[in-house]
Amino acid sequence: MRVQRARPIQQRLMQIILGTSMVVLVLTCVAFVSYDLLTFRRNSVRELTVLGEIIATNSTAALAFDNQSDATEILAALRAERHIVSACLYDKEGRLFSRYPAAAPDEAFPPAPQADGYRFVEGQLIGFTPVAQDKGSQRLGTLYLRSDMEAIYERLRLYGGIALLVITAASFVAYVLSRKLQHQISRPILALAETARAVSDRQDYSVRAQKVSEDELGLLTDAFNHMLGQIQEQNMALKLAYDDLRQTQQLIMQQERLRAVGQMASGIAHDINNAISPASLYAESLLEREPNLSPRSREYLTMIQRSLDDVAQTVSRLREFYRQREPLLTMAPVMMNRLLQEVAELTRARWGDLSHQRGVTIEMNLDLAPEQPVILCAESEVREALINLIFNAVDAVAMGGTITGRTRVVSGGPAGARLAVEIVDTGPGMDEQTKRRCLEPFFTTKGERGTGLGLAMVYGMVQRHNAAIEIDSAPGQGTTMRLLFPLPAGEVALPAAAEVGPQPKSSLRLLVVDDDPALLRSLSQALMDDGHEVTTADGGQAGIEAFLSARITGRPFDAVITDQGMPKVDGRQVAAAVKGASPATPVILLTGWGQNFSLEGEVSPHFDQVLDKPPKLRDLREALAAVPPAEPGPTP
Amino acid sequence: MAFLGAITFRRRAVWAGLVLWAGLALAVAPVSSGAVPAAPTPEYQIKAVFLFNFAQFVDWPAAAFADAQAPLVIGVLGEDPFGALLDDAVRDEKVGGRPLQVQRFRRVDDVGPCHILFISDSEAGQLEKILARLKGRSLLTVGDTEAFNREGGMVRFVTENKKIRLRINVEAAKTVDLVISSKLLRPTMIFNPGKD
Repeated sequence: MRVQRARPIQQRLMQIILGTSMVVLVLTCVAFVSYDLLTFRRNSVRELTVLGEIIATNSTAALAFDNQSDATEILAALRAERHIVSACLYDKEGRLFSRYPAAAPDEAFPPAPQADGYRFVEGQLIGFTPVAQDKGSQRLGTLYLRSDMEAIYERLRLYGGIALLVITAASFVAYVLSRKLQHQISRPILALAETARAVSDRQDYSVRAQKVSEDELGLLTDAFNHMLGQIQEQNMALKLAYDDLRQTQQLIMQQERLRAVGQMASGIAHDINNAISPASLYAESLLEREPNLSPRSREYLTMIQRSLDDVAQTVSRLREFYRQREPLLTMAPVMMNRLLQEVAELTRARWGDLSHQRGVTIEMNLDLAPEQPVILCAESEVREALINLIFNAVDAVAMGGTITGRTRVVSGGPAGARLAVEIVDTGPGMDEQTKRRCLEPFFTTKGERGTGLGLAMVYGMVQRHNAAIEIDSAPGQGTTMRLLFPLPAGEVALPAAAEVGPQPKSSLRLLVVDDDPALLRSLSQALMDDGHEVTTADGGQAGIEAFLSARITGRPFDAVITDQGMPKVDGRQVAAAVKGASPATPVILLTGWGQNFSLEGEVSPHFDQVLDKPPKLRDLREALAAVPPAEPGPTP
Repeated sequence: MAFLGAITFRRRAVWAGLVLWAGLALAVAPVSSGAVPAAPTPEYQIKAVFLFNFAQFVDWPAAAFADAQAPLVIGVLGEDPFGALLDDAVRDEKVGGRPLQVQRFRRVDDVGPCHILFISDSEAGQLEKILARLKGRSLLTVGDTEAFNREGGMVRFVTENKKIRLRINVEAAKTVDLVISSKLLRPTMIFNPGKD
């Protein structure tokens, strides 16, 4: 208990108790003294009356027989009563007959007797008593007595002393008693105050005041505790709501960031793809169609093509940032060994060239299962997850080390045979807490560089694929991230490998729509080289007009190849117009994952094919192979 | 209450003091006269008043009066020295409900019902005879001759320093059932038969 805090209320209680008892005592003393003084005055009068009677009775003979000396002696007896200041006898005629004290001058006495009886004059008691031998008999003279009130003052002093003593003693007793008794009131109040201080000091709403009694203070304590309980509850709810809000806010901020990055990335990707498309088409075309190229030229062109492929792949990785998840997974058989090889190749930039520039060596090993396992999965998702895992591994061995990609079949266990895909690094490893939390969204060890979403996305993929994730890691031991996919029972048919270099079909009449003149020219050139009849349209509006006018002139197009991202009228509108006029005409969409990247999630009924930019001749040919041969248009 | 107890105690002490002082006063008799000069009063005027005052300080046996209304008689035997003074002193006065009456007697045999008898100086020669004649009667005898007490008279006026004092033969009064108030005795001199 803190005495400093406790003092005021205890002190005040004490003051109240002591003050009350003091006032009561003083009032009692005053009343008692007043009463006593009043009675004492009356008694004084009575006593003086009696004394006067005695003296008067004794003085009768002295007056009757004119004996002054005797009278003086009688009066002298008053010496025994020290409050008698003076006394005298008057004779029958009212003349001063004898006096006390004997030497007192005439002026000390009234010149003549006054009315009989006693009265207070100037703070002194004076009185006149008739002197007569018998009642009713002849009056012989008058006795005068004068008494000071010293007796009263004496009494007052005595009372004052007694009262002082009583008050002192009573105060002491009251003090001792109140010290004990005031605890009954002050203790619960102090306990309440203590609790209130704990609450305000530490914001600790879990403390409760101790209930001491069942009276009003107990009620107060209960109410206080109840209030605390409610505050605690509300505080908790508030905290939860606040945490929720914060998480939501962070999520939105992250999404906003992703969206911004994605938009920027999509713009860049679009421009780069557009830019390299002619180069890619020309290089491919040259390599294909010019048998007379010098070995040097062929080598250079091959190098150019590979570089362009690398650029395209790099740009394709950007797509992972902004591509929205397909709402429905389209599971397809995928050969995991091939996928892992692809991913290793895709991420080469990170672990290969970039790290070499920094003078660090990161080795990438692949350890692939000889069984060539095939699983059912959404390839793009799994690819994305693996890319994330490799990125993490690259970050872990940023100072140099080895990354191993491994596939192996794990048989036995309750889940049956499973395919394990492991990404192993020789980095610093994770401590327990990091390991436990690393799958949480927005948990990152990379500070501002990390979004905290990579492993969360991996985990999402794992759940969607009914797979499992295992993490083997310890500080200094490196990390093994293991994805366990269920192996499908029985054989799974792989899609037939596309034939390499399908033969160009018979000549088709094609409309190519794009807002990029360089791409337009290169693409039409490549298609014309394949023997097609190509008309170009610069922009969506021009494309629609060209298509419609061709139909009117009786030379309709067999197929339309259109860019997606174009100002004003985009590829979708072109497709809609084409299908509106001629539903049977195939529309091939070329996309550089332009501004309207949300397109990817949609299934547009107007597109027969969607091809990525930069387009590959091979892909174009494949797409065109599906187009029915040109029908002779209605001849005008 | 203690206070009151103390007061009553003190009152008792006062009483004791008074009695003591009264005793002392008796022993030393008149030592000093009052400083207040009394107006010169003719001797017999004072004596007349004293005679009346005796009526107040002496109790007579009931047999001394004929009935409750019977007057108290002050008699003067022999030559009357008072004249009208005595009559003036008792006029309209009452003692114990009785009126006062002044009677004058020529001879002792004339003395009828009487309670205070002043025996004049003229009877000084036959005082013994008179007193013997009055013997047994409840009668306060007063005189101012020098041998008055010695002869058996009860109260004698003595003149000292121009003041009139009393000398009383208490024994003589007692024998005839007269009770003289102790207060009367205090300012007086007691006649002591052995000494005087």
